[in-house]
Amino acid sequence: MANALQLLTIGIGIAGYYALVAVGFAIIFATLRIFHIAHGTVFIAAGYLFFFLYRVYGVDMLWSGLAAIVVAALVGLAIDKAVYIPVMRRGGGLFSVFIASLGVSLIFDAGFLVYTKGVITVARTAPLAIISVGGVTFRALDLLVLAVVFMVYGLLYLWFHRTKTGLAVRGLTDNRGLAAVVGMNVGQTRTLIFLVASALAGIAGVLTAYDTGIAPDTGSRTLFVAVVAVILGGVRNILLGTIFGSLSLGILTAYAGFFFPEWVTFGVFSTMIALILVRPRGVFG
Amino acid sequence: MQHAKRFTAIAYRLAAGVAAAAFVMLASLNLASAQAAKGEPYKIGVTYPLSGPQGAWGQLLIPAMEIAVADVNAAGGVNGRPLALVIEDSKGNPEGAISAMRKVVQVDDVKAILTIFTNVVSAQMPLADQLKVPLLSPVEAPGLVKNSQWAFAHASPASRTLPLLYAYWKDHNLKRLFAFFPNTAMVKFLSPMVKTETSELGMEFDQALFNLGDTDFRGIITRAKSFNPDGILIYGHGTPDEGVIMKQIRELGMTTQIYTGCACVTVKSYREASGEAANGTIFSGFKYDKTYAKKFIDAYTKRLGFGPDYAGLEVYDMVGMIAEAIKTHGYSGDGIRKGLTEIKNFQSIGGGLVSMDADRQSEVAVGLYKITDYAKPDFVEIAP
Repeated sequence: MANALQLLTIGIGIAGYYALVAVGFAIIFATLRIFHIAHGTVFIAAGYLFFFLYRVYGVDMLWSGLAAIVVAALVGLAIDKAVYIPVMRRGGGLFSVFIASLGVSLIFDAGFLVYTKGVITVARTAPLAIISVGGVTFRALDLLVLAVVFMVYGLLYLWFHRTKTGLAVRGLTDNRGLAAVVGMNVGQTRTLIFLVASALAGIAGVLTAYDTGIAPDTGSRTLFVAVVAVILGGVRNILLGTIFGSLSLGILTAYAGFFFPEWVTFGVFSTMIALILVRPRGVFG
Repeated sequence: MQHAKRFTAIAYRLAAGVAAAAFVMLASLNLASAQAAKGEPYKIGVTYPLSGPQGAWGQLLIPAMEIAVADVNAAGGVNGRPLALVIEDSKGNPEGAISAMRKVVQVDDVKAILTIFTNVVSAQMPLADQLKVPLLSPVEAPGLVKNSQWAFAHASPASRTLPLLYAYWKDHNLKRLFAFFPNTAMVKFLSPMVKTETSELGMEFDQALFNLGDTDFRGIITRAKSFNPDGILIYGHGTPDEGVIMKQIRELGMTTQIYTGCACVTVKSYREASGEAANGTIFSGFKYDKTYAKKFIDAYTKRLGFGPDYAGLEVYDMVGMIAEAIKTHGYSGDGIRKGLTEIKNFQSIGGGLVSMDADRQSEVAVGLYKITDYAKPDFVEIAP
């Protein structure tokens, strides 16, 4: 029983990171149909900036984190303005945008590799505080990550359901063509979508740089898992879908690690395929 | 009397003059030999990954080779000629490695190749047989290089490092060991080795395989925790994953003694990932005498901002071994192959002596160490 609870705690902790990256990716994909591979680049850029400000230059942790998140938002927006929009203006379809996104991701990965020599960088040097309750041990950082996830999802819910711009985002998710016809400012909404989604990747990047550390390919790896979470949950209901997908993957990873560690990847992805066969559009459509 | 004194004084002056002249001549001769490395360089091919997921290996190890080449050349080169590296990106996979090998041999005409990774060496060996070019790599898979007379390995394989740990466990009466191995080809020979030996020592044993690149291993560690071991062995490729496992073991409240099979703490990524959790870890690995290697460590640190890891020492040695082989048997594929086969009591930059065994696997000096300060890193040699 203690093991079951311990694994559940670990799974929920893992899910927190997935959820932050997945929800940003899902917002962009659901509204603009862009398979934004470079979302991982935004994630890693924030992580590196946080590392440099906080650990190398000794800037206060909060300010370092905030600066990294703001820069992440701007990097995401810059990718859209400098790459995606010009590609589409020149008649490129969504596949061209996908290839361009992959190219951006590979360029940044290669640049980070040359600069860092592939050395992993961890923003913290001190061990994490751990808390033990009834045989179950968890890290204080996991509580913080979950608090951030609750806050982010709560704010996103309020944005989607209580604001005019949020309504525009939902409008784009439902019917992009119609949204433009009814006079919605698609360009402005698109800017907002990239800013918010990239800031969310930034939050995840900062937390990851603080927790396990980052290497040049951490962004791509993290994004891959986040995409799976999005596919599992579906993009019709972004918040419910991504939280479901992330929780499923996190918990599955923790239990698989305990019962059949060498089969974790096999188990996780077999489950994903099985779910997709049953619900091709994801559990929440 | 006066004449005799004067004669003695003149004789002393003459002797001093001759000695000084001889000293200057010898010094200039020595200087001349140190500066005489000129002419067409002896080329060594390097097929290492420079890009992609394994790119860090090339980025970290090639500077060590370049320093070794610079040191050889500064000391007069090999038979008066300089060494030069011809570097080609292998991308860390067999296809890239074959293409890189063909390029450095057939276009650049190198006579020996430094390479890395079991899968890459396995793919390159048939081509080495065909092209008659020796390969020298830090692969640890037992018996791999036995399959080609053109393949050589310089590393500290498990067959040399593990016995030190077995002896320590026996001496400290270890009862239950849990091992973490990477889910790679390495586990095929490592797992049976450890399982058999622990069984012979009367220990209970369990293991789990981890996937390289994962970031959260706490599910697997919970399994280890439920086994209630009094020793944990983490034995892999020295990747940061192992450092993360170490850290997460402590973050799940386990205080069990950790053992590893390499001087991984000298790898910057590894100790960044492990943090303080690495302190107190006992490892057996390549002899790494920081005092002996100081000049190399300083040169490397000047270039990269941090010290070389144990693999950096291994590749530094390899350049020296090839230089030695060229010196004794000439600059040809077959000459270098013969020279490498005859390596005996070669002075490693790590402080130990290296000889090549009959299977072309180097017999390196290994030691058992305890990490005292992961950040520097500092470690002390302990008795097995």
